[in-house]
Amino acid sequence: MVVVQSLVKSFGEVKAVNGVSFEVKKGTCFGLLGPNGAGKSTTISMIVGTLVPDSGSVTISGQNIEGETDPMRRKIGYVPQELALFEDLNCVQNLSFFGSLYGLTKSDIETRTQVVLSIVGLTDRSKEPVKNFSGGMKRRLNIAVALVHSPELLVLDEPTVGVDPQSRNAIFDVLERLKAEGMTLIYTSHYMEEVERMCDQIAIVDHGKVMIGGTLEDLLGSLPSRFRLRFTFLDEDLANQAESVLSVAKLGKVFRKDNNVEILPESNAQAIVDSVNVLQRAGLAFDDLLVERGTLEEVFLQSTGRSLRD
Amino acid sequence: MLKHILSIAIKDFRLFAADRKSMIISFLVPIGIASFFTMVMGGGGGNQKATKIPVLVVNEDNDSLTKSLVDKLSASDAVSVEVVSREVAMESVKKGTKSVAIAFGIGFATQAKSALFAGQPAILEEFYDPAKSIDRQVVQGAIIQVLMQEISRAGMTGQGAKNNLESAMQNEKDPERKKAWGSFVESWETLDKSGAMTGSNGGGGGGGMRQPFEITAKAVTASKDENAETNATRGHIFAGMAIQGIMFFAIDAAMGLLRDKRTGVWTRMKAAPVSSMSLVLGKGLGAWFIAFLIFAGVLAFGMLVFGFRVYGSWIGLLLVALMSALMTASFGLFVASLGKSEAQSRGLSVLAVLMMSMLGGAWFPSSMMPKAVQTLSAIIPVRWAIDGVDAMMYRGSGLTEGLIPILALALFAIGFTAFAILRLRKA
Repeated sequence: MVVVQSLVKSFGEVKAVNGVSFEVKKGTCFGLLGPNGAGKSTTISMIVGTLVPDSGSVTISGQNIEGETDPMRRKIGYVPQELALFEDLNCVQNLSFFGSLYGLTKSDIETRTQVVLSIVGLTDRSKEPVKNFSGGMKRRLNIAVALVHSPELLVLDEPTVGVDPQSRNAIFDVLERLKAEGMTLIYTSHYMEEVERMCDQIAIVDHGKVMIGGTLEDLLGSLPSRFRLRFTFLDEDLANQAESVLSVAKLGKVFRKDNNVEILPESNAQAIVDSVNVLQRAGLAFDDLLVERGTLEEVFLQSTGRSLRD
Repeated sequence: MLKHILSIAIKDFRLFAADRKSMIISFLVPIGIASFFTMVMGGGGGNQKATKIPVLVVNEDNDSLTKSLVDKLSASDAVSVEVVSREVAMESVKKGTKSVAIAFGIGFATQAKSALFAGQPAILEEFYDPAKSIDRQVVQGAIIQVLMQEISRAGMTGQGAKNNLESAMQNEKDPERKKAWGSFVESWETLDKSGAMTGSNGGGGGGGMRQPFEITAKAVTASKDENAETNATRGHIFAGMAIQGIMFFAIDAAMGLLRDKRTGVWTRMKAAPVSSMSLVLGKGLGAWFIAFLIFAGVLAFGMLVFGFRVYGSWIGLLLVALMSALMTASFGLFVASLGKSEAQSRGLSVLAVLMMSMLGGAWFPSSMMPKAVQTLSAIIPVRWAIDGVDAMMYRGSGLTEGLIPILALALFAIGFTAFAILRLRKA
């Protein structure tokens, strides 16, 4: 549905987006994951048509957005990172205003207002000024505003910034419902858990470039190890000895931190059994063993050389 | 396009109405300031007596002439006199409790009388507070009038005057002029004996040199209404404060637009299929309507409570009000398009509005300002708004006479709006 090709955008000397390309299939959720300043919001701005690229193109259902009043814009619902709402107005007034900008008739606005308020769970607060809402409620209304004109594509720029876990879950419930109903989503975040939960396809972005892209499985598959083992010992002395024997056994990369020794196995689940056997043979009793799956954080670290939260 | 513009304007009006406190303040501030000035100035009518300026007088000479001068000054409409010592006078002016003091030093009377015909003039000492130099000018006017009359009367009557004249004649070296002095002394003696110099012969003279004319002041207004002058002053004050009020509202509207940019609302609106021109015109239309309401509300309050009237064209006044509101709305867009942040823009625009209000004549008539500033005020939109309202309110002008200010305001509005559209589209 969405094809982004070789997008480039500079602000003065700074190249914010440098050749970003990806495709989003209809009815799927596409995630742009990257740290602050990676170029996610600039890419989003070019997709929704509020920023003109220096070069490259964005097509939605095979068409470009041509100019400020292109009806193509009606296909897109945009949820900005900020709470782009009029705080002194109530839900209905906010939705009516933005609906009118998308050319909805009065009766369309009335119908759609009720529908989207129901989707985001704000029907019973519809006549209350937004300034009285909690942060999570405002975030949900921020999404509702983008849905009022029934878009085919919903573009969300970090829609959970500053939201408590409970409200975040409520937002995910809304987005999962929309996805289940067949809406196409483009979702940016610097929280890997969100992208892992929501997105079918993911692109890791840094310094204005897509570093790596694909499904979650594809990305995790790019790691040298699909999981890690963490042995916890009673003291550092034992952990030191364990680090030595596990390194000699060459089961994978071995790291020690305090009382913990971590192994990134090169092979498969057999590595768990092998590691335990090596430690038993050396008479090193561990206190705890944790097996963790590889994360997008590690994928990011591997593809950019730095942490996602740097 | 029109639908989008109306949607934005209606939304802005809803926002204005939703913030009740801010809405009330938008009306109350200009009404409050205008009412205050109207009450302080008492309407400015010529029938009202001005407050006397207190003057301290030091009389170290204690001559009958200086005593008479103190009495005459006390009877003046312009000043109220209190006789004190030199120390008290100096200290009072220094502390600022009195703005002006004068001192008749020892020998002042004698020297002043003789100096009418020859010799060095007497010295009248004056002490004044530099912070109240306008008081000094009023006091000087009153003193000169009284002193000229009293000193000339004293110096031109009685034996003392005769001595002064004869002394002047004897000191004259030129024979022709000495002869003329002799004739003058003879004539003076005849007049003095007859009482003409003191005014005691019933000839109508008061003695001494008098102001040879009287001023009869008449305010020229559009109406023969006896309150026309008062109405003019009140109308001008309310018009000035109404325009200043809507200029400040324009700043609030500009801050609203900058807030929209900061909070992402502007970007969200730009993501919709709406042109930048529609967005800007929509914001402008909303601000125009609200500015007009404030303007009309302030003037209506003034008319109802202070009773001033419109002597000119009502349609002209309506057009001036509409154009003034349009100009201020477009000024708000102009400010919003220039500013990057609310904090940065607010300070500068408040300063700009205060300067424009002052130089444009909203605080006091621009005729009181230097010629160069009056010329410069042609590029200040507030001046045209004030001129237009004054013309329609109390000058009694017709619609055609109001066309120049209306046209000037329209040009400012077009200029500000065009600039804002270009800047905001580019941004």
